[in-house]
Amino acid sequence: MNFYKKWFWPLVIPSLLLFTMVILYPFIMGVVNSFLAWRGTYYFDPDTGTRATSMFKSFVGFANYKEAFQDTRFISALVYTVKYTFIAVIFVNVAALALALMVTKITKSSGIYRTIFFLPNMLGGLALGFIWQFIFQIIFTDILFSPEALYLPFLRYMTQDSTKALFALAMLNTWQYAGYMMIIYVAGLNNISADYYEAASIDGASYWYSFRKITIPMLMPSFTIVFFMTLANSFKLLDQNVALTDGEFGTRLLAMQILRTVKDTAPPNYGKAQAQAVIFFILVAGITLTQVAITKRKEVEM
Amino acid sequence: MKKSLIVVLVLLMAFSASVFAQGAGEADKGYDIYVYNSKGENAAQFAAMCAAYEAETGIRVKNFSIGSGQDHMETLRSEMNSRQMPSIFSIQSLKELPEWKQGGFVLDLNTVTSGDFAKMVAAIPQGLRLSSDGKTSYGIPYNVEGYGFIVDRDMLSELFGPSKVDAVLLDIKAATYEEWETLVKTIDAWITSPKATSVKLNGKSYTLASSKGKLSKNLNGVFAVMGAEKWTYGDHFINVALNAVLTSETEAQQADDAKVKSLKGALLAYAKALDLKTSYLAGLKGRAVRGQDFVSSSNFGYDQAVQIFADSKAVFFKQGNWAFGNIAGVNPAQAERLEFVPVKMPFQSQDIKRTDGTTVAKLNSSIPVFVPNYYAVNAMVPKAEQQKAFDFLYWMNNSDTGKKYIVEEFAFIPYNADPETTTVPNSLGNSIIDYMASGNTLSAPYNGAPASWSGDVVGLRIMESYLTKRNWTASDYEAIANYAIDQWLAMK
Amino acid sequence: MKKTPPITSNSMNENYFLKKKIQMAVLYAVLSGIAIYTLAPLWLLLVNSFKSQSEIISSPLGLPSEITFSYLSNAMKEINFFRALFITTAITSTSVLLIVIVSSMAAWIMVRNKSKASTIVFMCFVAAMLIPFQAVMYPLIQFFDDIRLKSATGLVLMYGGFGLSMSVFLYHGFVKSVPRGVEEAATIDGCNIFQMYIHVVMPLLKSITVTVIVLNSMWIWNDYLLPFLVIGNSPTKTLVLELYFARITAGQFGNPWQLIFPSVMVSIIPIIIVYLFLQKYIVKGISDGAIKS
Repeated sequence: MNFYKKWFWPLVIPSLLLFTMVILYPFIMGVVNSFLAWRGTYYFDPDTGTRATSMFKSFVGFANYKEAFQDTRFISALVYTVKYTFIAVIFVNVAALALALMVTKITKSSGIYRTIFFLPNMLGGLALGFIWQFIFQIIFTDILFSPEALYLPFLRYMTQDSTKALFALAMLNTWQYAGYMMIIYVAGLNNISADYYEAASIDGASYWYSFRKITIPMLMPSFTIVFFMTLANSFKLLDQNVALTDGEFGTRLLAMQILRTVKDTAPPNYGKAQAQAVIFFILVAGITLTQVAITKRKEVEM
Repeated sequence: MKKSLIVVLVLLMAFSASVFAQGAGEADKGYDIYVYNSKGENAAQFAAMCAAYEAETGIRVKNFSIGSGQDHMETLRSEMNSRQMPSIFSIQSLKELPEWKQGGFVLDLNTVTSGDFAKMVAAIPQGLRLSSDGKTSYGIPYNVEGYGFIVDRDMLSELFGPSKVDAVLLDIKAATYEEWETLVKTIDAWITSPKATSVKLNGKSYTLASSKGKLSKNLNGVFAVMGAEKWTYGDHFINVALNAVLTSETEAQQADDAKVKSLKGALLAYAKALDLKTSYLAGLKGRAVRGQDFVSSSNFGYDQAVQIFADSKAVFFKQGNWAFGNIAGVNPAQAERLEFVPVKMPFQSQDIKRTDGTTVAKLNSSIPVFVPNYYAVNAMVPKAEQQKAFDFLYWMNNSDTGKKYIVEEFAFIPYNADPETTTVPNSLGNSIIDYMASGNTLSAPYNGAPASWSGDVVGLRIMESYLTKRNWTASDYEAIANYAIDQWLAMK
Repeated sequence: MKKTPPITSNSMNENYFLKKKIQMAVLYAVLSGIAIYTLAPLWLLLVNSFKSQSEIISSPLGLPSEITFSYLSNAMKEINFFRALFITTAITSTSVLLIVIVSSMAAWIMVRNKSKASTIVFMCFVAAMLIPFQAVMYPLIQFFDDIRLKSATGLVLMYGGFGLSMSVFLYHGFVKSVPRGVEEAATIDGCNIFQMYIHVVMPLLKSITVTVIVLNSMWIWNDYLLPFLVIGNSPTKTLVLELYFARITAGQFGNPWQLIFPSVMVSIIPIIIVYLFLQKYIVKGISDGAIKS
């Protein structure tokens, strides 16, 4: 319609302006910087060994990328992040779906439970991470799962072992996000017409049978969005990583690796950090887009 | 509903406007000099000092303080990228210098040739200068700090008798490593079954009390150690060993492969001393051993170790004078009675590679005293602003008002203090001044090691692989020393 | 597909109801267990807000030995609670308002005017959701300083930019499901675009707007890194920044728990109150956002 066409740019421009200022321009600059010997406050000239007189003198080609891939810390952070994401996505999704199935099943006070499960999501940041550190180190290790009580060695010292810490992080993340994802699943479940289940039960289908044949396929749109959100969240996880283990015992995730690269090098190699951030972006984008494409196709097949 | 929504919106807008108005109208810089202070603990006192300077001279001082945690460099870089750069900023040790030098941000203070400020720069003792080659000088020291084993005089009084405190302190300071090791083991045995045992310190005999007293009944181990804090055994404890070979940060920074390899003997001594220290541990809930608990920050973090010591559960606590405030927070009475004794290591005379005549005995009776932080002048700001920065720094370190703030308000030990006449309102500070007066001080070569070598590499390795391991053998000492050397060579 | 052999219809009914009852009881028990697990960390926060440093370290789980509000009131003073609350509210609400206006306008017109440009712009916004903050952090701060916006105002614009992607995405999905009929009627009535936007479109977008407000307020309120880099240690500190600076001025090392616990406690109370009052809308907003997009 002509009317909308006429007003398209005037209404889009404010958002484009913000987008350009805050994301596009800094991002392009970031990509440019990943090809330069950038030191954060100045550009380094490899030829003279001093501050470069212009940005172009600081061009180092793919050196930062090469360095990043040769850095064992970067590679191990990459591997660790992939492992973590795998576990976290499963944890959060299973927990969220289980919660959603349960709260939709009960008749009374389902609202109260939803309110409680969603609550952790309202509170974020480092502070709660520190409280969880306290829980893993004192409550799990010394009280609940100590040899004097319910002895479960796997749940002790979880922040001091790279494999256990994966699960500790996933538990914290599940605590924080399961309630949120539950709400999305509840919405999806409520969207499934009761007729399907009635028909199935008349046919004598068991609970699991109708869960597999009706619930799961009908929930595909919810899976798409929940997977997308949990994948992106897990990949970018930072605060909890800092608070819980601070990257010790080989538990550095990618986001933290990027932040810490400038601490590992002196003078700080911001170019290399930026190169890692670009690789990181490509990875996040690649994985999440593939995931969306796959689950979307499943939706279509329905 | 709609009306109330509009009212809420209007209110929000009005009230937001009041917040944002503060940021507007910054055409004038609003200051004559801008001081960036990275010792966030004294933020309020520092601001008061700047206000006092403004009142005296009319020079407008903008000040910004931030904690010495991990974000300090990020913030400083973002300030350096801004149009309003700090005129005076902070550099923590030689590790941070290359960045500011390469970027052209830091002014060599030796290029200032006239005035009181130039005299002040020239008078900074060689060992306290921020310099990569011994000729340049890039900063004015904030203060000096030191560390060793902190001990409570009243605890010694209960252990050895009230009349022996001063003598026993002097003799612990002078004792050999072997005597120290015996002392540790004897006290440890005494804690489980108190009886009058005698120990030799500096060749003299002392006898432990036959029963426990008010404080010593709380003892459950000899040392309070923060197993979760890598910097305590990475940076600081290892630094004592580095002193056997390296005399300064500069020497460490310029050390060639051969010199790094010659650290072997000293690093073996370090591993043995660390083994001793972590074999007789006190804990919050009774005697502790190396293991996973020992590296958990909820059990053996900074606060927990302070608590262990302040509750008199341990005799010795390896920390610096900065811990005074933490200890005073838990046990103010005890904080008034503290002294340092040196960190001792089983050096052999052939481990000592420095050529200034330092002996094993001298190393084992000295404590590291070093400058944790420097004020640097920004080479990028206009000359007139630099001059004002010089004046400010001179005033701060030489005027009565400035000195009063440094000593009384910041509780610093001034770098230019005369050890014979200076006292500070802090028992640990005064103990350091005593060591300075007797010349029993070591330097901080760990700051000249490759970035993150001491804490995040060696310290981390020790935490992950050794502090969790119950028993160490000679091959562990060997492995620690080799790992430290290999990493240094690889990171250079 | 097993069927229990019918006995008598009466006993089968009883059996069925008993089974249902047990099923429900188990369900409630499990849910309550999870609810306790969910609330436990907050309970920990609560009990430790009334303890001294030594008591927190020595008995983290126990109830406080005495109920004293001195730690809480001290924390409120330390973090300049009311000033910081005011500033955080101002920054969050202005940013969210900006996000709502800008993204709803853009998303609406993009859906209504299908064109190549519209698709490209939309894809850009979606792709931006995947950019990690670290990738833009330094150039962003530098750029805003260059254009003299390294201030609270600039912070609001940054939040506007970062909140935009997800909000456009949500609005875009929602608008697709809103029929054009009403709008077309309005154009015939001679409405101009802004009248239409305010009187016709926005009321239809009410529920998704709630979602956008909720989601953005949550992260902006809790954000630490951006205000830290932009505002730093100036008097206009947000709650999270106050918390951070209170922590570092309290001591160089270690965690001053007797300050941290009560400070975190007082700083989350406003969120919890808002949440409890608005939770119906919040939950509805999120589920609507999920279905429609």
